[in-house]
Amino acid sequence: MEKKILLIEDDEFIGYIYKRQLEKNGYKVNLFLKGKEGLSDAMTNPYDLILLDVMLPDISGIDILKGIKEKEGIKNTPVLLLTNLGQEEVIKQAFALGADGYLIKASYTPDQIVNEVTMFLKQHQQQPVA
Amino acid sequence: MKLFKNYRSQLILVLVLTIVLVFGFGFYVHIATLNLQVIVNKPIITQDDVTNFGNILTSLSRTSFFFLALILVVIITLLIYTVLSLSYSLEEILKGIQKIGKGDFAYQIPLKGTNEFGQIAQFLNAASAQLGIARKELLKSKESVELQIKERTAQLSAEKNKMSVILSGITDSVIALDLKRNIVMFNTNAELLTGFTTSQVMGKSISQVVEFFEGKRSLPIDEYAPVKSDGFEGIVFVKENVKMASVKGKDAWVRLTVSQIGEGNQVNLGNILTIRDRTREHELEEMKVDFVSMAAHELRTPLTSMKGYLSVFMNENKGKLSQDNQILINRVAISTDLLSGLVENILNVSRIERGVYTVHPAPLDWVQFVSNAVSDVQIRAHEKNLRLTFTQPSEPLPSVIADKARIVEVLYNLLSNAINYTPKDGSITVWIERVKDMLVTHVRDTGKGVPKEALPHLFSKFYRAGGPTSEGVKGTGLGLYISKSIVELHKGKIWVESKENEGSTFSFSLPIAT
Repeated sequence: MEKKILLIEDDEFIGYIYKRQLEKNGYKVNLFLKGKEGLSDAMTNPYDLILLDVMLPDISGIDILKGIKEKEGIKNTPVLLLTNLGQEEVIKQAFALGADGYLIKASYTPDQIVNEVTMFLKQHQQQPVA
Repeated sequence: MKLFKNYRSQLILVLVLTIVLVFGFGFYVHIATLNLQVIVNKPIITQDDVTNFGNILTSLSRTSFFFLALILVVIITLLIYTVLSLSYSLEEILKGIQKIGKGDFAYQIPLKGTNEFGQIAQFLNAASAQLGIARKELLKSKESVELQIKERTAQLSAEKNKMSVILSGITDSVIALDLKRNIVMFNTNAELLTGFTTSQVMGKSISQVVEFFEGKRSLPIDEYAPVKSDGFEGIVFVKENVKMASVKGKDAWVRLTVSQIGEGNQVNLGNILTIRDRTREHELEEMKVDFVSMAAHELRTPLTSMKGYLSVFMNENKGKLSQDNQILINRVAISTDLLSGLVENILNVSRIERGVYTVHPAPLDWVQFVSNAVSDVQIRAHEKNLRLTFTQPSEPLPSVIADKARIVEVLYNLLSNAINYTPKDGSITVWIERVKDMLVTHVRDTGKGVPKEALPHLFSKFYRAGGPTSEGVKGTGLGLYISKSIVELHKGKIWVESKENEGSTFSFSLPIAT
């Protein structure tokens, strides 16, 4: 069954290329350029994974993460953060809120991102979800 | 008047005269008595004899009276003369002493005689004349001393005025402290910088007026204004980027220089604080750092897109492009990587300078870590036909305390430099040794070495040995600066030993995990 990924990323170019490569590898991707729209979508539609940019202009990634983790039914959806170098503080905060991992955008090519996602989902599936 | 040599001989003469007169009188009495005896001893005493006896007695009585009177007159006259002359001499001498006492050294006692008083008078006259000369000389030297003092006072006050004009003219704040660190001098700029007037701070402890901070740490007075009693002269403390908080509520970013003079202990001068107001520069520097940081952030997003799209494009067109086109696109990729490296480095530098670049050190198996890093760059060394070797230590080495993610940048930076700056067929050797409680990692290459004049600047920001485009090796001039900052955040040191054309050895130390 094809996996559904919610991608919240404000930069259109980056969002597009991630979506393109993920879809080429068999994922179904919903891309939101606006944080608030992404969050409200997450509240209604079920996803296998959420890729979340932490630096968004309208609402911080941390607030979106809080919203997801507070909502029954979707709070177990794994969240990977899309970050830049030097955001250790935000990452720490996000882990405390229940984020499952982070990917530094500048360090990975889009295909490497796809690889990381695939590996993460494989590992995540093996673990019983609480 | 001067009949006698002195009073002693005068008295002796009186005595002798008296004795002669007494003896003369005695002799006369004796003769007269003999004549009377002759008469008395006659067997028969005649009328003549009686008359004679009477005459003799009368003559004896007359002569006796005359003699006694003469003796008395002579003695009394001589005594009166002596007493009068004594009193006259004493009076003259007393008068003379009084005059001399009043300072009239020109006065001469008019006693010319050779007697005791004459001698005293002569002596007093001579002494008085000497005193007169001495006083004249004294007055002369007093005048010259007074003149000198006047000149000196004028010089001193000119010197003081000159000093205070110079001090008020310089744009730095100058505060002088005594040995107890109380303020003894405060120039105009110190008033402007602190908001205090000189009269408000004179004699007060420096800590009651200003406080200095390095970062958040308040500098203790003994650190920035140490009182040394070894006669040391010169600068005892200097620090940039010190925050100065005035008790009046004025804050400033300053460069603090503290000096002392060799004679400080003798003149009760402890330290001289020279404070340069760098607030404006500091604000500009902060604006610059903020701007660079913002610009780099803004650059990063399109760069990430460029790299992402490029990698996808290259993957999807592998083998489809002509060789010529492949070279073009490869160069785009190389330049993009360089640009993104530069942007990341600039961001790191701005983080270091804002003090937000942090390390989270933890125990790390250093030998294994270095060995892995060397393996990671083996391909690049191989491409240039360089022999890159990691020499395993002869004894097991302890772990170090280091932040993996940070310290790996140092290793990669030193290894990349070694690969970049070593010509084909050269060799690079990496080894680790223990020095006391540190592990020291060395990276030695057989490159062209660092020119002597470049050595002191090698770890500075934006410094590139041999100019910005040296020998076609691309770089930002930030790598070693960042490496140095990272190593120092680990409480280690980084250094280089190099000789031109003989290669370089870069080394850095890290604390051993305990």
